[in-house]
Amino acid sequence: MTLNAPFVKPSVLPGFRLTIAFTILYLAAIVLLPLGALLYRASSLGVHEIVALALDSRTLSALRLSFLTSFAAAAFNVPFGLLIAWVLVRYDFPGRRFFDAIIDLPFALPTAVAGIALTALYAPNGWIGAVAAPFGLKIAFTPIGVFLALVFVGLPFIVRTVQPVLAEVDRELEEAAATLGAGRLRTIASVVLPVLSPAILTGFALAFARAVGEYGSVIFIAGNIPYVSEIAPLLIVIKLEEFDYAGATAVAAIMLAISFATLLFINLIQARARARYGHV
Amino acid sequence: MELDIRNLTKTFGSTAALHGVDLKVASGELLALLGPSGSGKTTLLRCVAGLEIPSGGQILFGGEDASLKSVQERQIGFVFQHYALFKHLTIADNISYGLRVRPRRTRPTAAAIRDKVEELLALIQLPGYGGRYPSQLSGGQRQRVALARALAVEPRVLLLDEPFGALDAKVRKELRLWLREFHDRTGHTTLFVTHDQEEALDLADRVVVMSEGRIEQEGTPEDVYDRPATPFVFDFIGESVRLDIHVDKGRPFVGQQEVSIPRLPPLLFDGPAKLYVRPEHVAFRRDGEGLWATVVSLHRSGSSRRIGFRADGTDTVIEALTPADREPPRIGDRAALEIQAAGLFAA
Repeated sequence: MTLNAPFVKPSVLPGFRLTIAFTILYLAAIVLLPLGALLYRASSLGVHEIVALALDSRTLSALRLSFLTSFAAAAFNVPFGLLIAWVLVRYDFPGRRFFDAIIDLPFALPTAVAGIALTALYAPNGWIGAVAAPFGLKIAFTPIGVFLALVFVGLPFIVRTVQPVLAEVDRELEEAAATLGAGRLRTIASVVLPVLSPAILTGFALAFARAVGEYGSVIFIAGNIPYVSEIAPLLIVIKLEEFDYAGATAVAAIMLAISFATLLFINLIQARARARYGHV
Repeated sequence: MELDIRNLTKTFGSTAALHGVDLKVASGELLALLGPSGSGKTTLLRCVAGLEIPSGGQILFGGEDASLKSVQERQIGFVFQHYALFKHLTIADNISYGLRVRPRRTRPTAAAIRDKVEELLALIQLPGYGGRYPSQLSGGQRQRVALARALAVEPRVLLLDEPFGALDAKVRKELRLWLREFHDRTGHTTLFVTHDQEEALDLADRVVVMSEGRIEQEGTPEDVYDRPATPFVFDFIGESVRLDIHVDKGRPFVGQQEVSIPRLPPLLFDGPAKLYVRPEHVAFRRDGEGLWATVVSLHRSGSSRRIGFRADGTDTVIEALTPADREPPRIGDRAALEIQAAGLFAA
């Protein structure tokens, strides 16, 4: 095999052939095979029917709700996740480890548990829902509820991707900016954020991807009213329950296409940034 | 801009980094803060910059108290050991950063900023490099860019923290000479921190030797090298051996032998003392008057030869430096040592 020669630098830890073979096989079995099956099933519908289904107003509103709330929740998490990461990295205060551990709870909690807890809190008779109700603000069973659930599940992604990078940020850069006369906000905006931006973008992409696929925590709080608070993953489940397998796979394929395009776009931005600054 | 540091103290938690430092820096002076790590030299520099808040004392910039001013208000230029260039900005944008962050009222026009950048790039001998990124430059080039960036804001004082510490030996030497020339041309009041005595002695108008948060000695490079004021300075700068001696009725004795040391101030104490001698200040003869000793080691290094002598009645080896072409004695030979200069301190 001559595959070795052009790619591999001599190393004390050889094993390129073995590891690349495993990587390809593993990715094929775990990722590509199910996705391929999905596309295959969807293709049995024919282009005409997929387009019809995609343009169906119920599908459209579910997709719109899913992607817009996911985007909004991920975007909302960026500044606040950044702030939390900043506090956890930069300050040593009593209880820091405790708060640090809490960040991971949305990861660890079964999503259904989170959904029930959020619903109990935000339902019109819940603690927060009861406070908001007199002002005519309904949280649970509306897109706002969906947004809140997605903010909840997305937070750890931002904090955890930014935290290690922030810890590595050279404090001398901030000091250099200060000696040159830059104020605090200016220093953060022009020196700290550019260094963090690849991590922020990664965190955003992860939170967004997770939110698009989120099911358990959302269905309880969403109320699942068609055209109002019905998310796309739920629509898939509904179609499956109606034995409309083709319809379910079609919606799934559309979601896959949009998600893939979004992640690809984010990766391209990052690749551009990396090409420009060397390694950031 | 002259600088006046008065009784500056700084403590970190329970450990004191600076114990009441007093220092005056004349306008246009190039001053080195020299000391081992942990001597407080960097803390002192950072206090002057405003990056560290002193626990007590005052810092005056041109007679005006700057102690309570923020870093931004002090108008200093600071150069870091590891350059601290903004990696995501081009060289031109790095240099112009301090001008671009000014409020609109005092910010130069875009054209003026461009001209300034070009002028500074020429000054640091990197014309045409404005469009590159820091990752495309070598260490020495990066440090020059860092210097240009600091100078762009026309600082009142230039502060350099181990500016050549991260560079390899050859670039270090080149940049050192370059900085000296650069200083002579631009005349900024400059403080630089270093732990490298050669660098300090070579470059500075005046050297301040620090140890454990105190100034041990300040003076010209000749002063600190030729006339070290304390045992620490003798030890830290240049080479020296320490001899345990004793003083009896104002006269120094090595073992049982009295030694004569020229230009020694009158000794006002009796008892044990320490004598610091540099190898180049030890001469030897085969006969005559002197401190009798036995040759115990011979070592040739380059153009000179080191000869180790053990003075009668002591264990310490005194080294003498002689030209390599001079006929060396043999191990075991007897010789009379003449100490031409030395420092003597009560133990």
